[in-house]
Amino acid sequence: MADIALKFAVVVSCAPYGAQGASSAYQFCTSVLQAGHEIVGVFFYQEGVLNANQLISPASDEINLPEYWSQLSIEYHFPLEVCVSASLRRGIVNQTEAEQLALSQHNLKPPFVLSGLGQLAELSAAADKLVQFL
Amino acid sequence: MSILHTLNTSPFQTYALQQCLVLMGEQDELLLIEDGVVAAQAKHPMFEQLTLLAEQGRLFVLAPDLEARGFTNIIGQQYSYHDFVQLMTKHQSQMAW
Amino acid sequence: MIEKKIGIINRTQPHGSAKGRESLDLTLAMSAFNESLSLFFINDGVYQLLDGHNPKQTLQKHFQPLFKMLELYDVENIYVCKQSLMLRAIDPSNLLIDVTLLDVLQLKNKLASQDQLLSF
Repeated sequence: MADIALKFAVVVSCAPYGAQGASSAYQFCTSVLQAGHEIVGVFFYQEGVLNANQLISPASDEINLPEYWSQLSIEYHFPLEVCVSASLRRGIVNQTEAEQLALSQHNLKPPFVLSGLGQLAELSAAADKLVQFL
Repeated sequence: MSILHTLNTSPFQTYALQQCLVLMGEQDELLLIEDGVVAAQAKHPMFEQLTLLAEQGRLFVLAPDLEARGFTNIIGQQYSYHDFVQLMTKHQSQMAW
Repeated sequence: MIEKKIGIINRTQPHGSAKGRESLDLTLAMSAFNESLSLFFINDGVYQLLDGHNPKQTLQKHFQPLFKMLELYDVENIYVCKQSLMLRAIDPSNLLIDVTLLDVLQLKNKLASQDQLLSF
């Protein structure tokens, strides 16, 4: 157990599949929580926004990282913030944006939320430690 | 204040390790993760520098990534994710390479 | 609460990836909330500041003009690695904006004085 509980903010810059970064980030987060620290939020930027894709459908014997993120965030009550501009460029869209842009579908997986980069500033301000995974 | 450097690419693949070593401060430490763990195992141009770092107790290698790749004989200390979290409590900031 | 000093490190060329563009977007957005940002350009990142980008024929975003916004947004701590420029035969006078040139030791010290770091 931790001597002092610290607040961590994690930035994920890597897609959930195709490279290992997002998996490493997730594993780091679970260890942070197991050690008794707090996660103030996870911010997804660049290719990391793809972690919020509801349509990700891995084989049954492979991990579903978006689902892992969802469950962890719900269990430990921290937000999964996804940069809105990086998301739109990469085809991650929520219902509001889909309607505004007249897109036929949306695919943002709850409880991920689209946020501005200002949210990263908030997480940074709230956290003792900021850790990034490329 | 000190920095924990994490590195996830192979020195056979990019210059990131070399560039990281140039910028490491005296209190900084290096954690090799993902493909970066190979730097603790194979003879690349910076292996001697890394050995020095290991002798100073400033080189760590993420064990799950070693095991995943079948590496056994390495320099530096094998660390778990739990140890990784501990490392972060020691340093003010982290720099991802 | 004392404001966190955040260092944003750019070490990638422009256009081959979106890292440069998205790093700059992040910097400009965060500058509205944090007045203690420092920008670092090291290794290939120095190419982002080389004046004269023209990506018209590559389908990539011409984001270099946005660097001029840094001054408008009061982001003044812009550090460029002298050694990285030298290795790439870039004369500092060919950089698009005013920057502070640092040698390796100065860079190390500046990086160590940040509370948090982000890399692109």
